[in-house]
Amino acid sequence: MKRLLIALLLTFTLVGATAQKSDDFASRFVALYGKTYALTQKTISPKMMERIMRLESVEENAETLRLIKQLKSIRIVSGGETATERILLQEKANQLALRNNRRYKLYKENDNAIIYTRRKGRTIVELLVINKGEGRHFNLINLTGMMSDSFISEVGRLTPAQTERPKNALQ
Amino acid sequence: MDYKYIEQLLQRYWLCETTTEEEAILRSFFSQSHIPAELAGYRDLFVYEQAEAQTQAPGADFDERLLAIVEKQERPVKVVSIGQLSLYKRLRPLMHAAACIVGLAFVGSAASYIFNRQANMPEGWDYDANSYADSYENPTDALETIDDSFQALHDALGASAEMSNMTGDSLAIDANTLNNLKP
Repeated sequence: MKRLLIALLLTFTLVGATAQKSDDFASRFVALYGKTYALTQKTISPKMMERIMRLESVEENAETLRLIKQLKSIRIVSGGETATERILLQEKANQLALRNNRRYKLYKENDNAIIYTRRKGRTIVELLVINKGEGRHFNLINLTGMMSDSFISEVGRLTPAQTERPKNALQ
Repeated sequence: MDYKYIEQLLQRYWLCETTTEEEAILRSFFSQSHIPAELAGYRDLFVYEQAEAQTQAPGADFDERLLAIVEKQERPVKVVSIGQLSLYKRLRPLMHAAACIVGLAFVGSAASYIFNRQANMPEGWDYDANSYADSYENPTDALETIDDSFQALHDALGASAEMSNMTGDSLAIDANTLNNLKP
């Protein structure tokens, strides 16, 4: 009986271990390079997302609400004290995504940025935007959630007015 | 030498008519080293009987030695004292059973928590929500970051509506979105 209990306990421990959650790209990047380079990170958690969705300004804007509803978290990593460092960080971020090419697929690349996605089926669960180019700041934007392809296209069609918000907006 | 007496004794021996004294006479006769040839054939019979009579009886310590061997092979006897059982001892098997049930219930609830936790998360979003430490306390400030993110994604996608590098996705444009894009 004792052996059976121990076996059951080990089984469920293993099951729990295999059910470990994964880290998003930004947290992995910071874990790898955060000690070598001066990186800053801004994080919006799932709980904060829910609070944002309850803001009056968001509730009144159906499109914004629809977009934010598809998000679970956002991390923005920036850094690089010199231009060389910034270019290096861009490269490292790109290389990290390429090394994990089974997880992150290239979505789009142009002169300004590289976009990677991680999908589960047709749903985009993670979206990476790595900006690139000399003279540009290093920014790594990592969105997670349950996004559809229309999410990307809708954001791509947003006008500057829609992407900016009055700083003193009342709630 | 005349061995008629011995022959007569032998005749009586075959008819089982000899007395013990007469048999002793025959044994002592056949124990001699020199026996006539016609009677030598009977020697082994009386010598065998004499040898068999000399049995090796066990010594006085035989019983002790045998008992020692037997006792060594026997399992130790567990001595159980007969006495009053305390209430604790009486209930101990019940407590063991209760502990087993509690252990099983604990393992079962842990498994249920693990599997249900998976079920409660949106399917596909497999990140640890507890690992996100908010950088903002005010959701309005956080909303600005969302705007910055959307802006960055917008810039990365380019202002053009052409998505030449997109991989197999479809553009879902609805009328509401188009209307919202109008200045």
